[in-house]
Amino acid sequence: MIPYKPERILVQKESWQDTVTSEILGRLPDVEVRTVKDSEIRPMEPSAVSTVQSRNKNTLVLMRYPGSFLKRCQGSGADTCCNYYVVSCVWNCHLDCTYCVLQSYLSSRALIVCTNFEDLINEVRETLANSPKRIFRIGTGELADSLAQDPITGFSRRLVSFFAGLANGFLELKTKSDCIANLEGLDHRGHTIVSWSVNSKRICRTEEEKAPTLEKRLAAALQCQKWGYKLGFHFDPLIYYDGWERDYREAVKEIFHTLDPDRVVWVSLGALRFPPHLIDYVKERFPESKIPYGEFIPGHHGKLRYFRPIREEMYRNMISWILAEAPRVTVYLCMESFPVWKNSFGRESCSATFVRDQLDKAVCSR
Amino acid sequence: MLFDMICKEISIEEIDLTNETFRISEEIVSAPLRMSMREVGQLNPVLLLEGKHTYRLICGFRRLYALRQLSASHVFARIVEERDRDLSGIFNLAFWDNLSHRQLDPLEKARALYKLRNNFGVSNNVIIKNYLPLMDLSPHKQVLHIYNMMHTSNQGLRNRFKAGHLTLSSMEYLAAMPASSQASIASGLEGIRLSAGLQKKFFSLLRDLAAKNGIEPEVPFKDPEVLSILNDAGLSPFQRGEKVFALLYRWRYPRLTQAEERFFERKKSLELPGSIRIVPAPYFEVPDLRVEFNAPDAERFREMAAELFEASQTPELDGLFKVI
Ligand code: SF4
Repeated sequence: MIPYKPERILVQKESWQDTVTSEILGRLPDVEVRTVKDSEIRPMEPSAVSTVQSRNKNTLVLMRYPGSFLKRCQGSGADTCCNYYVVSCVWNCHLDCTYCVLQSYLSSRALIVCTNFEDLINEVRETLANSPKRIFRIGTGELADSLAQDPITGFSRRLVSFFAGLANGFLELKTKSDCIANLEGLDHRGHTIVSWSVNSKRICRTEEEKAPTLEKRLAAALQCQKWGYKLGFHFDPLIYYDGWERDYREAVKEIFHTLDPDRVVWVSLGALRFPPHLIDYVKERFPESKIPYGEFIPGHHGKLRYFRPIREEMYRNMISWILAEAPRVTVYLCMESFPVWKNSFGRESCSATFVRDQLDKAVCSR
Repeated sequence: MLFDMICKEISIEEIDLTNETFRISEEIVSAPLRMSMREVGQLNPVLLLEGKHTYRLICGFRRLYALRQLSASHVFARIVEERDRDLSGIFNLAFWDNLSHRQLDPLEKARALYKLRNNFGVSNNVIIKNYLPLMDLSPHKQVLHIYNMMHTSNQGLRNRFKAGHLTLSSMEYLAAMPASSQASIASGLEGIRLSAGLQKKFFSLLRDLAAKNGIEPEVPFKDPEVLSILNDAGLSPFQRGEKVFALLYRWRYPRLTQAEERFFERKKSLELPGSIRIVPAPYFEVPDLRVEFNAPDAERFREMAAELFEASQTPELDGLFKVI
């Protein structure tokens, strides 16, 4: 994997007060730093952040985010949602997967790191304390890869230690990277799940070119398993192409032959979906990619997704291959409707609470 | 500004009519202009560049053509001498003259931009900054690139564009293709007409099929099914266009179109009257069906409910819920 190394760093004036800022700058001693005024950074919602100089990912912006960090996952609103929460303190990613929704979602191409990390911690602490009976599964991988920029931010060490002390909170670090060094030696107390977004080797090679290979991701997962972490896997996005069955089946086997299936708390499946305008970005930025030419239809939230029988065919097969290798693992679908759950799992019980309870049970019991 | 302006009558024979260095007009035949000349004669002089032995026409291609059609032997002209300015400066005269009294059509814009760059050595930056806005085009490199390609595009496509059979965005898309693809598509398009609304979808299907299957965009036009539509004399050009579009759509979305066809067949087998509409969920995303009918009175309501009840007793109804 190509490590992230910015060419310049823009620091919002307010951010100088945060220790995160000095830590990050300490890790990048030879990079040009410039302080920018608030007016040059409009710290509103991630989708609206733009900076004058942030035309490319070689710019790292350190800024304070005044909004709320903790949000419900975008899947809420789908028929069957797993009731997941996200906190985003890094926005953007340098791995440039062809299908990545961030390329159209974020208006800035710079990598943005929110330095008021204490606010995030306080917000999570308060929210969880207000609902002590409820289990919170919280991930950091919505607007960035959870670990790809961790060598620079060092956020994982703070988060893992913080969640270790939360009775009802579980952290999921979702990544395609192999940047796990910061996770070594932490007293995580089983409250962190390190999960990998995985794909068939062909898709890793053609659509996730800058991310580590499947083998490297699994080697990193094996290391985390040795450090006692719970593991998760996300086949997301599942991409349909001639020969997908052979390739994905092989990937499933490779995962469960490398790792102890009993340490895997969940595997999610999500067929490729994206906002319609992303297609044009992909065609322009990655003319070799075949992704835009699937049989897509407009679905939930206006996103394009594969025609239902294609999704169901993929899910049905994946579920059977996964359960054949790891019968006790919890498999769930991301952002899918009741009929798709029913046709994929062949059972009726797939309500939102059923899925939430299954996942809560999985995370607490392993 | 024109210095040392000389105006005189010149014999048309002294003008090199084959030299089109400064021509911008796409169409030089103008019936209204010919009529006007016949009625009141030439009102405005043409602009000529004086050469050693002949004159070159700078502005007034249509006027001169009309005069020739009227068998005139002389033309009233202003004469520019080459020493007055360089060739790009002279082309500027033609450019401004055209711009001052009419809107250039897209092919004329393409011709002018192409000449500025390739014949008169004006840099891309100057063209983008100074000339594109004058033509109501956005000052972007890509726009210049597209217009340059349009100028050199296939003549058949240009003709279809001039005839109004292709929209500007279709033309832009087609002009970016290799010459061989343009030629094949131009001949494929000969037998069909596509409404402006359908063109965008049609060409986007062609592009997607090419990218998906790693083929040249004109390949579908060589398919036997497409050829048989193109050769079907019983269809109008618009009908052929729609049929070819439907075929491309089926190739691009095979499973969806199969489901749609199955649904249509099974619905037909229920033999319900046309006034009862059965509509699937959009793209069959959920299996639900919507049943609609209008009943002006209770009797009609009963009749239709009875029809529906009868249909509900047939095994064909189950098939309607299992099209995918
Ligand atoms: S790793 Fe994730 S966040 Fe990064 S580019 Fe790929 S899909 Fe986007």
